[in-house]
Amino acid sequence: MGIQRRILLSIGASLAISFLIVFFVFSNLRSMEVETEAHQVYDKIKDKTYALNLLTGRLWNGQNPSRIRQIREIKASLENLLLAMPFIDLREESLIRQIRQNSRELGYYLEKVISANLKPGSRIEVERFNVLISQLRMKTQLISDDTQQLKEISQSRMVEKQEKADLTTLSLIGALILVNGAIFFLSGRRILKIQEDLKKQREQRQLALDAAKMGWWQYDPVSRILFWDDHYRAIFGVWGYSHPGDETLTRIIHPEDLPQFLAKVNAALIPSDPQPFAVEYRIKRKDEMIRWIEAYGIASTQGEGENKRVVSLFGTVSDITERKESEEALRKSHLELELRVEERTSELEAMNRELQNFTYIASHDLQEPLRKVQIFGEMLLNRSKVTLDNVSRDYIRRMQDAATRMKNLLDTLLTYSRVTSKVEPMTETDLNQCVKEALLNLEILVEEKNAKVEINRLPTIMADETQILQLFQNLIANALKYQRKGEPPRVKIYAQKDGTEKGADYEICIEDNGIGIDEKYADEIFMPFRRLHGRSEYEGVGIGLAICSKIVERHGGNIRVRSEPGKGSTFIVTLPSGMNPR
Amino acid sequence: MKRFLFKIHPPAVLLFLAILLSWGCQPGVEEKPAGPPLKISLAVSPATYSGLIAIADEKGYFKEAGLDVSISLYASGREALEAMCRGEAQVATVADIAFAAKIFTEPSIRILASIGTNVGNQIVARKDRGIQKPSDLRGKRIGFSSQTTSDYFLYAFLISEGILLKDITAVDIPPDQLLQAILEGDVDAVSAFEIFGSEAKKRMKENAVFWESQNNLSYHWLLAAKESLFRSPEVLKRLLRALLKSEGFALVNSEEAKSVIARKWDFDPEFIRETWHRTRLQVSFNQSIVTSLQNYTEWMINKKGNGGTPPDILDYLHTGVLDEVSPRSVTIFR
Repeated sequence: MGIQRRILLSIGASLAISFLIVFFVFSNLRSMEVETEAHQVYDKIKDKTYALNLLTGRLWNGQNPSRIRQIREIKASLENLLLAMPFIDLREESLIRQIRQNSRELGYYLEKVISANLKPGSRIEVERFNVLISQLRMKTQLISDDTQQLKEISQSRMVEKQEKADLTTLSLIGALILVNGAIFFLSGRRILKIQEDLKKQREQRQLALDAAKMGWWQYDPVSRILFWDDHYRAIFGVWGYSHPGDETLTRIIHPEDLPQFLAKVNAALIPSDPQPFAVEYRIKRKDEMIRWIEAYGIASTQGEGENKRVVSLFGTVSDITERKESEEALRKSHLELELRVEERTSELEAMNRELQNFTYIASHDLQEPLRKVQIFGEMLLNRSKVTLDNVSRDYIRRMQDAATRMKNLLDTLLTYSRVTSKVEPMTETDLNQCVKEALLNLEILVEEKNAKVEINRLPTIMADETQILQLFQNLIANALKYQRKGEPPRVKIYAQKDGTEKGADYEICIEDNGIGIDEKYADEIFMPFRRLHGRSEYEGVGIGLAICSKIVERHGGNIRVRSEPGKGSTFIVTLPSGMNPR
Repeated sequence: MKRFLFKIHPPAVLLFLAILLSWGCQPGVEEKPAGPPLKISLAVSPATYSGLIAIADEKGYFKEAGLDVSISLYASGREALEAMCRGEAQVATVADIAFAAKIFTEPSIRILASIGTNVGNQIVARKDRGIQKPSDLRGKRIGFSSQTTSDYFLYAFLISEGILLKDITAVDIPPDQLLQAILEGDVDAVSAFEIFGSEAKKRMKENAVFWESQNNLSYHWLLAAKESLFRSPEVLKRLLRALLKSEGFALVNSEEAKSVIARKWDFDPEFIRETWHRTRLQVSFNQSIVTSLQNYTEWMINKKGNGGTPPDILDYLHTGVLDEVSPRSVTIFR
């Protein structure tokens, strides 16, 4: 049972028992009052009967009118009292009935006594008077006895009631003490336990805060006072037990960070929707040190709806100056690194350009002397046809073959270098047209090979048209070249993804039924001068697919092959969606 | 809620105990006395005003009080008292007048308490003897039982009617023979106890003329015992406790009380109903007992005419037992 419930139970039990005590005391008092009133009536009746007894006894001395009048008045008064007699139980009722009966008879005796005519010397009159007087006295005595008995009954009832009330009241007070004692004892134990738990929790929290080098704070929005712990004070360079108000805080916080800080505080104190308090700000300590502070907090609210209000804002602070300094250092080093990377990239690009230029120039300029080697070789062969022996002629032919191969090599090298050195601007390019032109260029080869080329609808994209033409030409030529023996080449060109889906890339596939390759060579075939077959089997210098790769790369895409030996190959060219002319 | 009901809550348990404690402090029920019942013998004159004894015996209150009671019946209180004095019984029921008369010869008797009052004595006369009104009694033979209520109330009646004792012929007849005497015409009238008067009227029918002789002045019906018995008062306390219980019963269940008394004393229920209002069943010790005893002893001395000092009535009263059992029932001046 919770403390609150125990206290409520204690209050409830105390109130109930107190109410019972009050009820018993008041009902007892009321009962006593009734008994006291009855007692007063009984006393008066006794007084009246005594007075009657006294006065009638004196009638012996003669019928005094004032005495007779007094007797009658007392009797009338007695009758009135008897009429007003209260009764509570059957016994009293019986006694009162008896008293009334005796009172009526008393009246009879009184009248007889009053009217008695005592003649001196008359024995019978004297005896009759004596009998009447004794009977009258008996009657008054009986009334007096019964009244006394009523008093005794009333008295004993009062005593009984008082004892009962005392016992009940004492029992209830005992119960009150017991219940409250028990509840307070148990609650006290619980409170002590809670206090111990709270102390432990506080110590643990403080340890955690110490470990995290954090301070704890609580802000009261009504008094506008900030309660802070020792860590908080240490971070702020403040000592003592004072708790700062708004003014002190605004003096400590760096003016540049103050607006942001106050905005966050105000947002956290909005009763309807208090925002989590999270802010970084600088403070200027008394020792002139500028420190970076990170604060987190949350509002504690009470009530619902329109009555909802923020009663407290509490949270943690930590000194993040070192972290901030580290971050700043890191940021600076990052900037430096970026700068250096940029510089290095520029250098590399320049070197690359130089290399490309060199390649171009080399391949271009080497062609002229090579051509001269071929021409003079030819001239030498024609002029000395007779004088030269067979071996010399064979040497010259081999020299000419080598020059031809070198020329081809230079041509392809030139083509390869032109991919990056001789670029055209990106224009709207119809890939269908490009494929057609490429096939036109390869028309003779297609016929020789008895090849069939199937073209599906291809998209129009933004591209370097010349290079794309080169791309298709190389890939189709490749498909025709590596045909399976005895089987005419079949080439299918189609778009696997045509860019109609929003944000999707283009995928153009060139599928053949050629010899295929092992997929482990899928990357190697795109490197310059890499060949998987001997020159005697398939002619060429091994740069066609490297050119394709470079063209696709230049367009921001990639090329890959899906192939299996003997089952043909599919080259998949992926171009980014940004190539969409729209 | 279920969990709350069945879980033991120390405060709730303490509250429960406290309530039990407060109940426990209330006055308890009377316990039956331990040990074997005490024997006591009663000499009783069966009458409506001996009703408390009849009820206690019939309802088992004597047994409850730890008494083994034996009851002997006598025609009058005087005879019952005499039997007690002879040692035939320990306690007797007797009218105050008879007790006052016995004081002169038996100073060891004491009053234990009054157990009722009655105003039922009558003068019953025969019309065939020319008696129509009280003054016709003059010169007639009137039966009475000396030293009983019939003795005093005959005197009081005659005096109130202006007749002196010497004007009549008073015939002292034992109480149980009064009825026979008037029926057979041995006397012209009798001063009779209630039961005999009632029986005489019933039998004489039209020939009977009667008057209330007590002039509404009741007499006490007392329990008397010898002084020696008060030395071991426990048996008397138990007797009074049983009679007080009878009193409570009669007060609340008057109809049943009437039936019980009629059955016990073998009375006609009609007689009990007729006389009930003239009888009061109450255990008490009142000042009026003193007054009446004083009156009667003085009257007896006067009647004898040889002078003498009236006895100190207070010596013959023993209020202690009733005072201990029921203090509120004792209202005598002290």
